[in-house]
Amino acid sequence: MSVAYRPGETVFHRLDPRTKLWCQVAIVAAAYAYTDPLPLVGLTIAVLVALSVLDLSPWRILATMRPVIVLLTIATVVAGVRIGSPWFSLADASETGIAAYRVLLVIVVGFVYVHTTPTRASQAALQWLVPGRIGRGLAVSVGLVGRFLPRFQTTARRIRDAMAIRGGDRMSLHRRIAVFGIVVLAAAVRDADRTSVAMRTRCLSWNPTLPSLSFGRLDYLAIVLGLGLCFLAIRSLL
Amino acid sequence: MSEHQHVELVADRTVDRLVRVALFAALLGVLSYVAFPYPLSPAPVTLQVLGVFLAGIFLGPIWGAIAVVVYLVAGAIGLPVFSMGQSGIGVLLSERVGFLVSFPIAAAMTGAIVHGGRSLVDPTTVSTLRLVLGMTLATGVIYLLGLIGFMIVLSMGPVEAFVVAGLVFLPAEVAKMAGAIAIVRSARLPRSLIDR
Repeated sequence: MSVAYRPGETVFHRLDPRTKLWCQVAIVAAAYAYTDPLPLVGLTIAVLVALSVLDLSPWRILATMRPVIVLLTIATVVAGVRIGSPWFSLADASETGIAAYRVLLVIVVGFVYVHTTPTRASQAALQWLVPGRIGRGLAVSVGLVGRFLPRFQTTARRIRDAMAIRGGDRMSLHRRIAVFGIVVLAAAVRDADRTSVAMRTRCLSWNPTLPSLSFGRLDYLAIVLGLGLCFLAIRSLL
Repeated sequence: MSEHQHVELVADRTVDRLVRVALFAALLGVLSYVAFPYPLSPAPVTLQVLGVFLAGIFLGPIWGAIAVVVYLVAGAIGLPVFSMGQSGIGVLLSERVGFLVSFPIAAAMTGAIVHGGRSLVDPTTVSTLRLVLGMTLATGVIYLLGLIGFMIVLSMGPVEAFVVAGLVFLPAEVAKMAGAIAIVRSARLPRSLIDR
């Protein structure tokens, strides 16, 4: 199971979503700009502190990332393999290994936002970031995705179970994809058509009642911290 | 004194478009979560790229690309729509950045070739050759940008990146193309998906 939003009173929950988005971008920029192991140790400590504040187990987080970890481990090994003597370059493998570790940290930084920010607050931040009807359309669409997703997932699970009972596992891969895709798409379209009729009947407006956003003292502090990280990232590139 | 706010209603046609965009963005999220065991890869293969193809085929180049952008934004702000139900800006900016960024372009490319331009045609009447061409070029863009992203983020050479993130997955893309064609040709799809 992936990381999802949980209500709380931590410092990360109290931050404005716009601040958290900005800080994520700044942290990712700094993480990619500095390729030495030492800054990564600093980021690792920061991430562990954040997880501890949020009462999230690092092991549980790593378990949700198993497929990514498998892929990154293979990438690290393949990066070191040489055709011919000495057959394996530890320097190349460690370079990719450090980069792979940085990717894992960057993903966890994103999880902190996901765990502490409700979708509606993110929608409000989106509307602030992208002004006008485009932003409002984007916020409405993302809201609809959030509404459709659990329903479509339930439908998809039901279809997979039904296929397994009827011996679908013995079908070829492309046949399985086709059968599954047809039934899921047909069910999703019928669901969406009903939603569309309901939304038109209820007169959807361009003025949604999203939560109001405001910056506090903590936000200004975090924004300055983000600016510092961005400055360091730019300086390292010059 | 009471406050009055001007309420601006969304036109019916726009509602339909927004719902259709959200439908394909959510479908892409579900297909990214569905993993089929694949003998050539240690990691299971998801149907994410099939969702990109379908968005381009059924929504056309513009709305197909918009649906994929909505998918990326939804994933970035926390909806569990990325591969294996993950989400967050971190995933968007991980080693998958090139693949994810290529998806709107791939949907637009599929849509442009299948529909032969910006005005939409009934995709069920489009020739198989045109469908295959659209999806093949889209797959090319996905892997080109995907592997470039992989090389940059993981400091790898092009051959190593292709071995890890391309070679074993490409045959699965052929199965997804065959699946997409079977979906388009199916008589079980609601007419509302095709009639505009």
